[in-house]
Amino acid sequence: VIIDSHAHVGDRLFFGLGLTVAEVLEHAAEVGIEKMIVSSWKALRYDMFEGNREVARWTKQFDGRLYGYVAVSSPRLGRQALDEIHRGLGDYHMVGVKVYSGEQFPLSDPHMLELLAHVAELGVPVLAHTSGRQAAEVARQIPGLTLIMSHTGTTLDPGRGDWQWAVKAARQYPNIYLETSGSSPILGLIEAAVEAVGPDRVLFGTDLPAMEPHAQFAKVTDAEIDERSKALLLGGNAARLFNL
Amino acid sequence: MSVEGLLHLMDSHGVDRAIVTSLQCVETNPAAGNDEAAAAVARHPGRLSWFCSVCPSEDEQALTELERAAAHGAKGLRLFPQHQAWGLNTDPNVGAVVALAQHLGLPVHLPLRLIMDWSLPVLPLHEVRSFVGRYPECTFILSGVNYPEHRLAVDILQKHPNTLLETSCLMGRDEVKDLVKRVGAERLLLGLGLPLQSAQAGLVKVEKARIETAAKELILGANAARLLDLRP
Repeated sequence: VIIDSHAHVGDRLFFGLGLTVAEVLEHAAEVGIEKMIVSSWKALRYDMFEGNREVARWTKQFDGRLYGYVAVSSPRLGRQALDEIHRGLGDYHMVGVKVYSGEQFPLSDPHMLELLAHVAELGVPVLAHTSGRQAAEVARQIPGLTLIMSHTGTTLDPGRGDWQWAVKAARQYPNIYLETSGSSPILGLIEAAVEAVGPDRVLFGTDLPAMEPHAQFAKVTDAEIDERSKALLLGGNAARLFNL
Repeated sequence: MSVEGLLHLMDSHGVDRAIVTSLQCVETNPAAGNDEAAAAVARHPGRLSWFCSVCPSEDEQALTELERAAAHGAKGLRLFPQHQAWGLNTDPNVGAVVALAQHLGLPVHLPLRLIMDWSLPVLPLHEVRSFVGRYPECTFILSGVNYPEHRLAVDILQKHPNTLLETSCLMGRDEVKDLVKRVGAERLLLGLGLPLQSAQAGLVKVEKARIETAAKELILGANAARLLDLRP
């Protein structure tokens, strides 16, 4: 089973990304993706209550193909953010939490640390758009947190493309996982990630509808790693981690 | 990576020919880099062709080097202003360099970034827009375009028929399809960024794009063969 651990649904004013959920699933199906774990851009950047509610509706509509991350727009919402996480994991049957960070609002922000410590107690993974430096700091402070570093640090902000720092952070902290989607199809990145942390802690993602899914898929299928490792990256790890 | 390593990557992904430039040209020694690329092409003339590079801030030496490179078979000129501290629209010698490239029949390649890595210096696309408009008789190839630059790149290609776009840094969904629709397949050239980027990721963007087969053939090779007079 091929599982996309990083995709989005819903409105987004960004490079004409306004695909319907059915269209997102259609693009995913073209490369053989059978299950997707998605978050709402609206929930991350505008209204987490409305955005997460939309995702809950769609995961119900596309049951068995679509799973949700509870997206948190800001950890500074305090109690409201924690309540939303409980609502998402409970009422909405979501399987993880999605947070966004940048240089201005780092993952190590004290409000975020408090929120992530709470998520660690709940025992669900967090997909975090972050840098290797920030991920390492959080993983050190909250060793019980399962932290998936989206894009393996290849982001513009806050990663500055520094995937090697991200891989090194994951090697140092066993609670960090690496997710493969992103703009940088660096030759050897997947191989370096697998060599550093083993095939059990790397997850395939597309970042649909933003990224070209065929290219994201090819980064993994064309990597010089063994077939067992590819199977783990492409779905085995996600199935285990999210209990799908 | 060695030239043989590059050829191995090409073989394993069905790439018949690559246009190469030496990384020595970017920040250290363009003349030595041009010699390196020319030597590699001389050893594998059926598989490799090369673009030379010069640094316009080296004044007369840049022009001499460009003529020398063209005489040794360079098929085009690549410029790296963001790595060499000269301005695309301000350097007093760049106009002479472009005029000479045009006289020699060489397209001028302007990579916004070397490969798709956010840590690398970027040549702002708005500077490219002003620049290519000043030399309507010269052929320009833009590359290094990623999603933040997509709209402006389309605008440049639509307004300046002397420009083409190379695909190595496009990573957005349906970007190739959108470009074919807006500017036409005949204006696009396959780029892979080998040996620093995944060949397969670069190929499938075109091979799996929701465009006509004829358009794919143009992008995958026919356009480059025509532009650079490449023969099998």
